[in-house]
Amino acid sequence: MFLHNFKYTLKTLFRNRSLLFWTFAFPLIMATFFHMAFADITEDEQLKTIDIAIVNNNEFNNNMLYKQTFNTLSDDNNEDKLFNITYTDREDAKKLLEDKKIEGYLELNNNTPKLTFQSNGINQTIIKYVVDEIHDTEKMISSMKTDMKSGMNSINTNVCNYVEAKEIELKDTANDNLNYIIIEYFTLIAMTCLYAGSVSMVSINKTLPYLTGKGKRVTVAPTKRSIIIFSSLLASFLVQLLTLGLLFVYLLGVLNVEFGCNVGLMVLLSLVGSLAGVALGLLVGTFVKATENSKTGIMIAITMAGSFLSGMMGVGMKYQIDKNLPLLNKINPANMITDGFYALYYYTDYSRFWFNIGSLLIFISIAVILSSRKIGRARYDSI
Amino acid sequence: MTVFKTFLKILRKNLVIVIIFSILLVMFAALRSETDDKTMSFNAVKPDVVIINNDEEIGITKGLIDYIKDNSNTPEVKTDVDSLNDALFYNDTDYIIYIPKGFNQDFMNGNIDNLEVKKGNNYNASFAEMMISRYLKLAVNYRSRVTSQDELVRTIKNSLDNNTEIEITTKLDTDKVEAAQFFFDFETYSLLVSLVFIIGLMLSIFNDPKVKKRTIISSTDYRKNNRILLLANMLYAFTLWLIYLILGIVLIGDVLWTSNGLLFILNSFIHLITVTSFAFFIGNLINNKDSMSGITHVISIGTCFLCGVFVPLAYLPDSVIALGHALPTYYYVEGNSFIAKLEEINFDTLQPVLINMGVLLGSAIVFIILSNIISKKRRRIG
Repeated sequence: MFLHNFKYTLKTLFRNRSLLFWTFAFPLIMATFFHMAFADITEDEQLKTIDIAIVNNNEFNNNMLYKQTFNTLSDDNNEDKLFNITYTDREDAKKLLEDKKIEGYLELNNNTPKLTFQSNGINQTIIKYVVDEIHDTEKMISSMKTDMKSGMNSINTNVCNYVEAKEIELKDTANDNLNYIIIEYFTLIAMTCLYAGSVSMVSINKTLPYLTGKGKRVTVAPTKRSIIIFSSLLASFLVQLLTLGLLFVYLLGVLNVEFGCNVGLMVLLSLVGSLAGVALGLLVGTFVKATENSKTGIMIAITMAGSFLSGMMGVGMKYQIDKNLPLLNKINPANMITDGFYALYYYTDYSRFWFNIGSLLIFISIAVILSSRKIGRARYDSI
Repeated sequence: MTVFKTFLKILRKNLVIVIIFSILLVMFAALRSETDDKTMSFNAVKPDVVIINNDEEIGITKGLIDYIKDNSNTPEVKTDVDSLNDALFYNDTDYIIYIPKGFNQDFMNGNIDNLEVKKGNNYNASFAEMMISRYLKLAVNYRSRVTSQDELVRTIKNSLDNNTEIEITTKLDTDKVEAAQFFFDFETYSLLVSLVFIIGLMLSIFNDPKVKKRTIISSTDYRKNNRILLLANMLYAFTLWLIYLILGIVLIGDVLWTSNGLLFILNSFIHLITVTSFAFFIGNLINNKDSMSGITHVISIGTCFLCGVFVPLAYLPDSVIALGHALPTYYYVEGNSFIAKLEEINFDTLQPVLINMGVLLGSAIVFIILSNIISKKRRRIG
């Protein structure tokens, strides 16, 4: 009986087109969108060259320190090139700023720098920072001038060389794996794991007497319900494994996503996550008394909301919930899976990973116990 | 009335989906609506820096800490290792600096190698490093020419005391306008899911051949039924938009009553017309109510990823932007970004906004025409 029901559950599942879409196609479509939208995002957040203008008046041309510094910082051969500079007159600089072609412009009057920006921002702060630093150097020159009692030109060169030579190198001990966009892909795998819930729910629905004629027949048949339910769930899990396999092949082989974590443990987490999905489907399937369509709608809504809270539509959401409403994410299976992947990716020790595996196992146990009690207690005088 | 009652019945049954996606909008908007007060002077961007000091807060250590605190924000983060690592990963802090025990003495003896940092992976982190290096560079340069740590701190402070004159030309409260822009952009997702799903479902149920046959042979005028259905859908769309607008007013506040804010509202209303007509088109095109949920999610998530709702347009690769141009929502999101930058309202400055609104209305007309063609073709049922 076990094998018989297992085989026919598989057949039923593979004939449900709507289910096949959600479990097989939807994660692949989402992965494609992620890949398209996030291709450039981390590069865009790195420091890049800033477009500025400098009013090319006599004062600027005569001030060697300003001229030399901006020349160096806009030199194409300089690895740390910071600016693209347009040397022009004040009116043109104003026009460039209005047309948003530049972030700001610099003008020297009476040896005092004046910066004009349209609004506040990080680029504007960096421009101000550079001008301030030139001013620091000017002060240093004048203080050294007193010390050295020698000619200004030679001090200029000496100080410039001296200041540049004393670049500070700070020892960065942060983990190299800092690409937070990877969380989006983790949430996608988590969502796919939870879609196992839709699969198991469909297989459970067909054993429920109040939903289908098939359910009525199964219920009155002289077969142990536990065998029917267990074989149905096992068939759902097998379908889920195929889904996951397809998703991993697509992510790794087609989109070339680099996860940078232990593949064996990733697979383990995906398997436990899928079991959690199956358990969630069992829970919703047995506790929610509604039509099959409404149940599917509720299951998808729960999965999408869980994925949202674990960062699918914006990685910041996961962090904010983790930080401010930690309990909500501690009971959210989508987050347990996502957080497990995050722990593998970012943390060098595995304690957080095992904590998430443990949480998922507890979730599975609770869901299975509650559902079994509900199914075991169901009695019908007439259906 | 029967049609309207049926409409309400179906809506009530599926209201949970609308509520879930409306809550998502509120959560997202609430996260982004906290902004500082309006200032028209220059405000340096302050990176978020966490200082973990194990040294006595005296001399150069105190000078460095004071300088960092003056030039950065201190995020509210727990200082255990995991919380700090999480904060760095999720950009809640850009930079962490660990000052070791005995740093002030070691520094004066010529050693700064024991300073450790953790640098995030973003623009602000690079800036935080520039800022801290600036202080240390000055400290190293002045170190041999002073007699005490206090003198060193004073000399650095004096050197850093710059008052570069800065003029800011904008008259906009950019923080609040950006919060409003974010709200109206993200509204797209909730509207798309709620409208395409419900209207699509409604039409596919009413267009079901069995229901349609009964409607045609009933005593009520078929065209009147259609008119009521159309009105009920429009009323639903308008009510939802109005609820979102009220949420926006509560979450974002005053900025919506400025000319930029009113333009956001107008743009959002025109977008509502486009999305509603699009939902009609989908409802007429797809006759299978079981597949409506899948289609809705693919359309709404796809649109939001390709049109700059989930990822700002500035971060999207050119190929995606080119693809986004084919979707009306792109013109809505781009319109919002134009509105956010409008300094003064006149025909010239409004032109790009009006062009985008025109594209949205044009798309709505195209969807209505297509819906009519499909509906006409499907009127004959066997």
